[in-house]
Amino acid sequence: MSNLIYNEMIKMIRKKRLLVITLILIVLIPIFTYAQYKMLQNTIKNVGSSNWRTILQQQIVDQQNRLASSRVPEEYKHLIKLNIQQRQYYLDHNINPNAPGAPTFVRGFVEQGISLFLPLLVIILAADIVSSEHSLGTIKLLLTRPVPRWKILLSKYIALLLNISFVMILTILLCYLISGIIFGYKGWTFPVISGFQSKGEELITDYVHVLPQWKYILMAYGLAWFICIVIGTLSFMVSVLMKNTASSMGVMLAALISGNLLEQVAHSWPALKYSAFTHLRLTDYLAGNTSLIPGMSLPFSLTVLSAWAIVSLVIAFATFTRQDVLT
Amino acid sequence: MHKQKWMSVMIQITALLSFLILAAGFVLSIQDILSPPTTNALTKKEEIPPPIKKENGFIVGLGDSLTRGIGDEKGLGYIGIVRAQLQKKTPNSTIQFTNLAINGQTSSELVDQLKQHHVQHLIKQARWIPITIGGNDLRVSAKDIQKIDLKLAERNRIRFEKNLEQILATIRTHNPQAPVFLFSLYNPYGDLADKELTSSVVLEWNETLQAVGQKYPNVVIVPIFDLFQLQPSKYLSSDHLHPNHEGYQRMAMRLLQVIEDTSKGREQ
Amino acid sequence: MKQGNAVLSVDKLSKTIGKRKVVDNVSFHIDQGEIFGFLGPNGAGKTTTIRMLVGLIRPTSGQIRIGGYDLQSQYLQAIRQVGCIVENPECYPYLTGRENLELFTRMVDTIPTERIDEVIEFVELDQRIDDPVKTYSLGMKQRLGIAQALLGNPQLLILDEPTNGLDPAGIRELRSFIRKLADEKGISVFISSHILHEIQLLCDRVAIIHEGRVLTTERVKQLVNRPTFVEWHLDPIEKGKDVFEQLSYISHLDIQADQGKVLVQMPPDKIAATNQHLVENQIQIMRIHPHQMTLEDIFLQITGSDTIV
Repeated sequence: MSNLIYNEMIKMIRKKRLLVITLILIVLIPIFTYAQYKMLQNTIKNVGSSNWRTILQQQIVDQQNRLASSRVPEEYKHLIKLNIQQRQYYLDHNINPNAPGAPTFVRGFVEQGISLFLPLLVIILAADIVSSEHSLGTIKLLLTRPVPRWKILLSKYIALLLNISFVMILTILLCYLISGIIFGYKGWTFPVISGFQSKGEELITDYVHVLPQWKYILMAYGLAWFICIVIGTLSFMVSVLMKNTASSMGVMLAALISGNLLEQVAHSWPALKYSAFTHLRLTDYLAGNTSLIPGMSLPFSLTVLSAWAIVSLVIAFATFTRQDVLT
Repeated sequence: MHKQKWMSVMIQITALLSFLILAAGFVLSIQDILSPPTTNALTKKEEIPPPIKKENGFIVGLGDSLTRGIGDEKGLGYIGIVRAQLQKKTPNSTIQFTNLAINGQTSSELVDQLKQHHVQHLIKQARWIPITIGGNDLRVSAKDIQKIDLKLAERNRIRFEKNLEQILATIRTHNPQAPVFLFSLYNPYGDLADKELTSSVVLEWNETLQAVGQKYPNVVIVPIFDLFQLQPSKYLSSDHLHPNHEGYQRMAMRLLQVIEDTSKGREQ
Repeated sequence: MKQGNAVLSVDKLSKTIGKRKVVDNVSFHIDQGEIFGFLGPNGAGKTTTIRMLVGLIRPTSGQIRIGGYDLQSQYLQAIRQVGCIVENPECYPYLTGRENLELFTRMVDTIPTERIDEVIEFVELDQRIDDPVKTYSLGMKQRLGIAQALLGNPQLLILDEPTNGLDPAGIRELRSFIRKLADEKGISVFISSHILHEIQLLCDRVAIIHEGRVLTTERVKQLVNRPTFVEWHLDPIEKGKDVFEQLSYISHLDIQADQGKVLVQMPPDKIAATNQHLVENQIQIMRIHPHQMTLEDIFLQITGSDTIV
């Protein structure tokens, strides 16, 4: 088995898929870094102060003003109120939620990227893992070895999991190295608050606790890793079902993007609670961001996501081990 | 060849390590979210934030939508205009500015806001404190536009008086020196049928404002009733309640005049 | 049928795809060291049959035994006996030839790594084996394909249209490889083709498949000895005609006096005897021209139909 996994890893590496992803990261991370830098400069200019307390206070007042506006729908007001309380909590406890530094950028990157950017990278990895064997014709060589088909597919799946993990760590590393040029490399031990809960419009702070930023980052990327595995598993199934790399990538991209769009209306369409794409923002549970969708909780999200992954795996294995190779 | 082999072996070992690290992170995060540590390690901390440099002016705006700048199509508000003017006059320093005003805020709500630790902290550092307050207290006295319930207005006025005392007292406790610029009220309905009645109520409130303001040192009442008296529609925005850009500019001119006096006074 | 020492035996194999019966009740067997041809026009069901032989397609019914193991129930033991190239000789283009072979070697525990060098030497690819496969010519890819097929020391080599796209030199080269394999190593080879000539040059026995059915299975010698058309340019024509009419093995006689020739249908191995007979009857022979037998001719003879698509 380890030989088979080794084979799949070699293919993945030599196909230059990892190189493509590294290049995408190297191009995009500086852009994101610069965008964040500009945003920070802009805030400082608008608020007229670079003191984070002043900025935070200003943000609270700005949000209170949004609350006063009649154009804001009720459910958003609810969110804003919780958000204000959370910011107030940071202020009261003298903790800067966005202390500048490369580790803070790394944390922000996963919180922003968990629902679209990271899954996108995973799709690039996973979409052709089986379909490319079909389009190259090498599937015929692979399946005429004295190795059961399920073992071949399993080795591909394990290689995919390893590659996903590798890409995530690579993301952390590149984010840290690149953003540090602007933001500096300090901040692994900055305090980050976790454990906010809400009950109606009240922010419950009984379980709030301070984590060192490195630990928070580890946990956030752990959650993102789970998301990436689920998305990877879905792509894996699509890759088995589609004989063509382009179409399997297309299907997954369409699903991911429409799933992301639909997530935003999920509060008024409860059935979407059972879509895997509604649950992508797992890091919100860590940050204590309240969802608009009623009934969301970490166990529920994990259950829905796992169910999708397991069903996908079953379909992938059932199809792969039975299908006739006609082309 | 050998280099490539070495590379792929390295990548694979890294991948395996990554897998383990991230899996650990995943388990940790689930533990942390589902059974967070119950001992609340956080206590409120008294921090000593770095003080704002003396040579820089620091404006802290308080009050309601007028200080917020609602109605100004250029989005500046009187505070924005004043800030820009001050900056122009003293190019060597930075005029810093925090706008703590909240749309629709009444005097009671401002009293609550001033209880916040960080608001107090900002006030402590302020060099100028412009305030617009009372408009919303007065407005709720009218059940619909123009129809003032005089009894209710009187009750509200008394409460406003009390709140204003508390507001100014709080500010003075935290910052005994910075001049407070308290804008008086104006009558946005000055071109409507009932204008005598509405104006008389506004003026009555302005008297209260004046009376309370005088009790505290360094509180400057900035009258603006006259600015909107004769041609309200020209200086009010489309909601017929808030000033437009022209209106704010007039307010800013008034404020600038008095601010200049105070800064000269300081320099001497 | 002798099941005992057959390397491959196929019994009543059928495959239905959709509503079409692509392979219909096909049976044959291959003995050890034998080169077996599988002859038929494109679309006759050759590729589908081959894919069933190597486990890529599940048969609708019928049985396949390789080296005595049933392909369905004892897949791993059965497939271990087989090396194959199905259609084009695909390998991973982004890897070198050697890396491709290493990859396939790692998939089977029983193949020692020294085997890689053996097969490389056998297919004479040592010069270019460390170049990426995407730089290979088709002939080199074909050789690499054979190399990977030989890795597991198979008893049976299955090649699907192996000469497709090769130039004449490449075809000749391939032919000598296959002969060498059968003669030196005793490997049985199963080759599919749509060109009779190719099968004729290489195979010991042949099965002819048309529209999913095997029409006939016979020795190649027997096949090429089917009566064929022979042109006799001779003089005098009339006398020659009399002689031909007396010969029992002549099945068709066509006098073309204006061109000075007689067209007869006869077994090719009787040409020499006929020639002697004519000479003895004082007939002058200018030229004998036997027509090359084509797959079409054979179909015509077997089926009596005259359309081959």
